[in-house]
Amino acid sequence: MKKWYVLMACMLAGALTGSSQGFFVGAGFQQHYIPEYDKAIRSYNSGRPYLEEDHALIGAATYLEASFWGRVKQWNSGIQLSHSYSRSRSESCNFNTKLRFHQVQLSYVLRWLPKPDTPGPWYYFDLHVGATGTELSRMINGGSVSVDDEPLRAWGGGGQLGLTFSFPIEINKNRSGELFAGATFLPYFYSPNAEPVIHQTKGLTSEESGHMITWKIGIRACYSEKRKQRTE
Amino acid sequence: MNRKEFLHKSAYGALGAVALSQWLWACRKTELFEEGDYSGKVVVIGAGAAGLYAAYLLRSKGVEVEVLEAADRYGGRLGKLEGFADYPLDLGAQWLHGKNSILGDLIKRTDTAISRDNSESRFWFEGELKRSTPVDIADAFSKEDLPDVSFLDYADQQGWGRGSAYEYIVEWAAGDQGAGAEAISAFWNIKEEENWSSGEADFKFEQTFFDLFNNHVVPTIADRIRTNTVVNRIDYSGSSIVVTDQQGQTYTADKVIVSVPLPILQDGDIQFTPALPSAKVAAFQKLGMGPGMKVFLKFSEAFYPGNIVGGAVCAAYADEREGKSGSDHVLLAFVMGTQAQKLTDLGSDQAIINALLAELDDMFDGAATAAYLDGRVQNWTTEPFVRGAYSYATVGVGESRKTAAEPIEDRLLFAGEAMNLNGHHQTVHGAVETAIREVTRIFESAQ
Repeated sequence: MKKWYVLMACMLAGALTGSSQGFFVGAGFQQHYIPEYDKAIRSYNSGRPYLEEDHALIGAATYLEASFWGRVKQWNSGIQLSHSYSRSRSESCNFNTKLRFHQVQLSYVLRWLPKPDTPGPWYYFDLHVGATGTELSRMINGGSVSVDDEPLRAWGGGGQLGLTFSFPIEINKNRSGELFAGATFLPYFYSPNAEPVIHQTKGLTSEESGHMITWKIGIRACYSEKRKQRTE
Repeated sequence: MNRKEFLHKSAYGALGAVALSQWLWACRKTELFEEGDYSGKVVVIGAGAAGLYAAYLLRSKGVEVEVLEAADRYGGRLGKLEGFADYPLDLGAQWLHGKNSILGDLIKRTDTAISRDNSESRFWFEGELKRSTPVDIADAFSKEDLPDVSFLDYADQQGWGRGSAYEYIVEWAAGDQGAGAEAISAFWNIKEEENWSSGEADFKFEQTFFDLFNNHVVPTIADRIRTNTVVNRIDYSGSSIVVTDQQGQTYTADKVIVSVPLPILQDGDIQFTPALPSAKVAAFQKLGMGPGMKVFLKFSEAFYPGNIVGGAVCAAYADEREGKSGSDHVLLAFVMGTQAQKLTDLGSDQAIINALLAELDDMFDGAATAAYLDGRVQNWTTEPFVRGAYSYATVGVGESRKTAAEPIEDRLLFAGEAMNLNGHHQTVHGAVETAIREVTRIFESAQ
């Protein structure tokens, strides 16, 4: 844990001490692929013939991000915080159930920039290194599921590595936009209480850990002092 | 292509990618197994909760299935007593142990009426009924660092065992796990429940647990259940499995799910050809399943304060009116382990009832006999195709439950509460979970 704090402090320092700074705010669409969740949801559906509608796999999510950038020579680096929300519903007579999945990602982002006199570029590659935290919960008939009066939630987390491909769109001197598409991989995603939330068992259908892949697409608005400095 | 064109194309490409991604996602299977994934025939032996649910699942996916039940009725350790009181009673399993389970969903889906059992208990301690005891015995056996000794031996070590005022409160704690205090392991009892996830609160059915299955599971498979069919041989030496009943009739199947109560396997009622692996047979023997009975006592008035814990004849009495819509006063004597065996040895139902009334008279100054109206004994120990209450962890049981539940060649499969490895053994939803596990195994074997 101590190493983690040190790393975060270095990342933040790198972002804040750059010669120029910028804010990015983005929104988009994110897709999750979590095999252990899929297994539990499939087993849930197969084991309950009395349900009229299957639970969908957890997949499509709304995605929001905010990042703060600094620049050091040819590199932009920053801290990015993002949140995505996905849900999966199954509706039957007397019984509506919904899984809600929140994901928060905190990443250190690194972007290589061309020299100021170089034309373009039309796109950037951003490398993300960071961590993910998730929360999975269930609602039944509009109410949150609790066990013995305690809300039933599954927390999860893991380290992640991501790559984003961004296309800049100039708006004015200080403002610009970007279309982006990217993917993130969590080689080890630990979510020990997910099966009790999804399948209402533990150790029957899925493992406590696995991997997670997400891919996303969206648009972000950028405010950057860098542009001001360049024109001046 | 200039920058503007590139961005336009990128935007269209992005929208296309989202649409394609969603379409591909929608094509992914949302079920582990679907109709048509398995085309063989399955025979299920035992029409208890696990057997019924396995058949229900298989039938829902179009699999040919037949359920062979030795008794003259289905339900296994689920049963319903009507006419004794002005509300129905559960002859067998009656509490839903936590709602976060597959049965919790079924109950909500079918709008089945249940209520949390909030009945209070009094402890018969040092000749008096008390709200609590200086040592919380239930809590003492919930700790994770207990040694692998019996409840009773551990209680002796702590100074609240044999001969102490706590002796029958310890018996109650063991009986709650379906065991006598001298047989159940303090360590393995907790260890085996470490995956428990359904919740600690107990719920009661306004009708009965049996009704839940009878109304919502059985209807789709009723024509596939053969009662009075005592299986005594399973031959899995060939490409098909041949099941033979006591009358010599044979049933051929590709897969067989054995969901009989543990004592049927322990006592060797079913002959397997070839013989089951010795480790598996040893595992059956290592698991415990002790005597158990439920005695319903109807009274003209409720002289008792709710549940009573710690009697020397019966360590657990429960107020049956709790959670029911009716006015009759019925006290349930929930007798397990050594106490159940002692009562069984009395030889008749009336003798059992008399022994219980005598104990209650002692506690309530003769009020029990004065208010007694009727009694009914459901002795699961003497039920020929059950022979006990439910499984428990004996001293030194280790991984026996896992070995007992292992399939043979992915064709001979074992289900039922005793075969649950997810901490929910001893429960109905635990039995159902093993049905899901084994049906999944059947479908996976076909892939």
